[in-house]
Amino acid sequence: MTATASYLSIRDVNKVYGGQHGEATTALKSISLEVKQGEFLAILGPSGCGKSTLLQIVAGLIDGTAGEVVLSGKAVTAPPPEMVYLFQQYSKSLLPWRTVEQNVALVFESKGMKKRDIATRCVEYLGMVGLAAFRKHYPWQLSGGMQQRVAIARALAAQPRLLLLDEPFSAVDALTRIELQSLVLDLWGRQGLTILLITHDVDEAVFMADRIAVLSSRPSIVEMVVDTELPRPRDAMGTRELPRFLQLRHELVAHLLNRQNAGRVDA
Amino acid sequence: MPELGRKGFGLLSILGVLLLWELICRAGLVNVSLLPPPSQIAPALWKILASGSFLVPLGQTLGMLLIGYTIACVAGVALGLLMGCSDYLYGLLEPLVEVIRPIPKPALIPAMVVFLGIGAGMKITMVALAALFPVLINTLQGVRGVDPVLLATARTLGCSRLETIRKIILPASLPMVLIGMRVSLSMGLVLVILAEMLAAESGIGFLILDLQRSFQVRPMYAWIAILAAVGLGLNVLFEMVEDRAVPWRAK
Repeated sequence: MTATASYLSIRDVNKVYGGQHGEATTALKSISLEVKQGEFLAILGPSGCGKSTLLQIVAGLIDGTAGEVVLSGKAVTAPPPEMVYLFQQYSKSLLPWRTVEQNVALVFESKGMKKRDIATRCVEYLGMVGLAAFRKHYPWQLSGGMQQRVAIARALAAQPRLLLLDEPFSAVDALTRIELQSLVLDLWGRQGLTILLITHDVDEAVFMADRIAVLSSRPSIVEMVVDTELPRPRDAMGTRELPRFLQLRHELVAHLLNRQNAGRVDA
Repeated sequence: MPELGRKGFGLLSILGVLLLWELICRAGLVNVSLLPPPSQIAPALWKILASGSFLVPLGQTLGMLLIGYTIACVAGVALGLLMGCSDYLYGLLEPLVEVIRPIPKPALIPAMVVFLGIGAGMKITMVALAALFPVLINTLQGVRGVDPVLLATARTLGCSRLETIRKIILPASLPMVLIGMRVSLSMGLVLVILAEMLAAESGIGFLILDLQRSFQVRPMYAWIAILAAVGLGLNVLFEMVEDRAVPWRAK
C-alpha cells in the first residue's frame, strides 16, 4: 500500500531569475509541499508571488533553480503523461482553426486512435461539461466560460491523474466562475483526480480545496497550510454560508491584507 | 448592403479620374497621340479582348508568375519553418538571408540573363527570388510568434515535436504566412513584367515595351489596363483564399 506515501512531493524548490550580471530575483524560496492522491490543494497567494512559476515547475514546463518535484515516485523533468495543465488564457490554449470537437480530438489523435472512436469519445467528454451540442462550433463562436469548458473537456479527455489549474476561472465573469467551480468539483469527485489549483481568490480556494497553502509575495515561501475542514459535496450557495467558510475566509483575507500593508510600509 | 454601398461609392473616384482624363484630352491640354483619352483606349482594349489575342501573352506571363510564385511559397514556408523551429538553423541561415534580402531583385536580372539566358528559366528564377523573402520572413515571424501558452498546451497534452509543428505551429502561423504570400504575389507580378521588358521575347511586359517602341500607343495603354485588371483579380482571388483558410483571424 502506498496510501501513506505522498503522490506528489514538492521538495525545497527554488527559482531564481537573472543573476550573473543583472540583479538576481528570487521568485520561490524553499517551497515544500506534499499532496496526497485524490487531494484538492489550493495554492493561494498575492498576484506576482510566483505561484504560476511554481505550477509550471511542477508541470515540468520550466526547471527550478534548486529542489525537485517527485510525482508517483519519479522526478519530474518534462511534462508527465499523467498530468494536464489548464491555463487561465483559454482563448490562447484552444486551437481557433479547429472546432470544439476537433480541439478535444487532439488528445486522442496523438494516441493513434481510430476516427470513429475519437468522435464517440469527444462527444462523451464534451457531454461532461454540457457542450455536446456545440461540438461543431469554433471556439471563437463561444463565450469565455464555454471556451474554458472546452479546455476542461480536453484536459479530462487526456485522462490525467493530476490536474494543474492555473487561475482557470479568473478571466470569466463572476456567475460563470461559480458555475465552473462547481463543475470542476463535480468532475474531480467523479474522476478521482488530484488537483492543484493556483488562485489569488480566497473565496475560490476555501470553497474548492481540501487544504490551502498560502504563499507570501516575493521571494515566495509557504507561510502556512490550512485544512478547510468543510463538508463535501460543496454547494455553491450553502457552503459559502457555513460559519467555518466565513471564518476561514475572514482569516485568510485578513492575513493577506496584513501582508500587503506590511509590504507597503517596507517599501 | 452597406458593404456594397461603400464599394459602389469608391467606384466614383475611379470614374472621376477617367472623366477628368477624358476632359483634359478633349480640351487639348495634352498631345492625344501620346496620351489618348479613355474613349480611344477602350476600343483598342475591346479589340484585344474580343479577338482573344490577349490569351497567349496573358498565359505566358501568368504561367511564369505561377511557377516562380509556387516555388517561392513552398521554399519560403519550408525555410521559415525550419529556421523558426531550430535555433541552430536560424543561426546558420539568418545572416545569409539578411545579406540577400536587401538586394533590389530587379538588379539581379542582368546577372540572371548572363547565367540563364532570356527564356523561362530566367523569368521563373527572378519571380521566385523576389517572392521568396516576404514568404520566408513572415513565416519565420509567424512561427516565432506562436503563443507560448499554445506550445505549452501541446507539450502537456503529449503532442510529439512533429505533431506540434504540423498541428499547432503551422496552422497558428498561417495568418502570417498568408500575409507574406500576398506581398509576394504583387512582387512576383512586378518582377515577371520587368523581366519580360528587360530580356524576353514574349509575355505582357515584352508586348507593352514592343508596342511603345512601335508607337502603338492605344494598345499599349489597353495592355496596361489589362495588367491592372490582372493585379486586381489576383488580389481578390487571394482575399477569397485567405477568408477561407483563416476564418478565425478577424475574430
